[in-house]
Amino acid sequence: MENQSKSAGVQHEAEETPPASGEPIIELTDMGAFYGAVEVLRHITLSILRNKITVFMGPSGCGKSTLLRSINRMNDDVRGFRVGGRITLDGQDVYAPEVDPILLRTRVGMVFQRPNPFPVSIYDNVAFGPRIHKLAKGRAQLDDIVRESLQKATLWDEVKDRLGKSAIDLSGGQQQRLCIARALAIKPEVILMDEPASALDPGSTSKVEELMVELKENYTVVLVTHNMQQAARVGTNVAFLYKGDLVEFGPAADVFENPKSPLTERYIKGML
Amino acid sequence: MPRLMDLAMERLTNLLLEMGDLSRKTVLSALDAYTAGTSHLEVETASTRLKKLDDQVSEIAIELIARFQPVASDLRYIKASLEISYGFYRYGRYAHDIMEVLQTFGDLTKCSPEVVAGAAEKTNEMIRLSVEAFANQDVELARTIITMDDYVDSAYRDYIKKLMKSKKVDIRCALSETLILRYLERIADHAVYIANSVIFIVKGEEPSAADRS
Repeated sequence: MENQSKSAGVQHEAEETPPASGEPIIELTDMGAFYGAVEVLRHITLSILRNKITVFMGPSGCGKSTLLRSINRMNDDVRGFRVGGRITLDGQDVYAPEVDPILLRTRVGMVFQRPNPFPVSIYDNVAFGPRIHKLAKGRAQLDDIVRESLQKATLWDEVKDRLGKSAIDLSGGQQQRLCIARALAIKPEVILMDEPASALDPGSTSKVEELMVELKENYTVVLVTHNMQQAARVGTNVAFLYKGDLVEFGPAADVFENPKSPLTERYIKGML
Repeated sequence: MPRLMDLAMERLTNLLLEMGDLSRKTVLSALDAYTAGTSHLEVETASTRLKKLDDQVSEIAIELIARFQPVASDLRYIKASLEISYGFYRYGRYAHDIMEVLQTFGDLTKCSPEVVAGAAEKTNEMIRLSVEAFANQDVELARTIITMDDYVDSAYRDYIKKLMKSKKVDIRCALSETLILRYLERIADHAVYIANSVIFIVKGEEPSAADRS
């Protein structure tokens, strides 16, 4: 028997094919979530690895956004909302009484579905967080933070000559990268992204996806999307949620090529 | 309700079934011609047709990937289809090569067709089973094919060893029989590749050691 010739294949960014291993930064243990008496998430146990992109995908209403927002306690002010089980960041229970949710959100930043720049200048958008949290000692240091954040968000070259102009005048894709720069300016360890490209055109989507992959070198990215191709393109590990249950969690290549659960198979094939 | 991509997937399957049937008949015709010492023109035509069908399978597979971004078992099926289509095309190409042996060496009636008979019979069976395994997505049949490969490999190697030890050989027979056995050995390899692809489609993984034993 001679060597079998290989069919041409698409090489994508090298990601681990066995379950991606690494150091967990966030761990969910038997986590559940309720809006009043309604249980929207049940028995979620998974690890989010440092410097990887973890994707939550699933149909509308599956609980993926609730899961994401539970990590940095964005739902604390939602009436009747409560979390069961345990969510830890570097081993610390994020719902422990001593944890200040404001400080938690400086470690776990968030980017939303629709770009939501403040109606102020590009500079002030990025400088907002560092000013509030007093991260800069003077104007020069603040300038550095703004420049570095815009550079990391791959927006600097496009806006460096108009930092004083209104952020509202930027295109949708630029506004979303500005929001990412704003999140980066407070020097988080984790960035939560809730459908960050769903309102963008293909070119802007591509830029945001490239940015996610670049960001994971220095940050941990957690992404919610119902765009399966996006999950496949950028995800290290992918979790499939359905009606509040974690159906499957594994490396993106495995989930999209050889899903273990028939439910996952039906969802990604557009049959669910 | 069928999905939009199901129509193209069905066309892919029908093309592969057509290729499987045509390639099996083509190899049979070539071996018949070798045994009878006559030329079968339809082998050439069928070999060309198989190349065109292989090109069509590639086009449909690429279009499916570009337009529908298939995943899971759909993606595995499309990947395997490319391999299986190439295997069927290669059956036809080796049938063509067998006919070329006849054309190159001329009258081979003084040679003994039984030298290649055992390997030819086994290879024909492997081809038949490979077409059937694909048509029915039958992992057990695929495993059977894999275990048959050693017989054809040995037939080729043993014949070479025998020739090396022979003090007197008819060079025309020795060369033609070596080539035919070599082509049969390659056809059998492609039958194994097709069997591997059937296992990949059904199980989602490459054949294990257990599949090979």
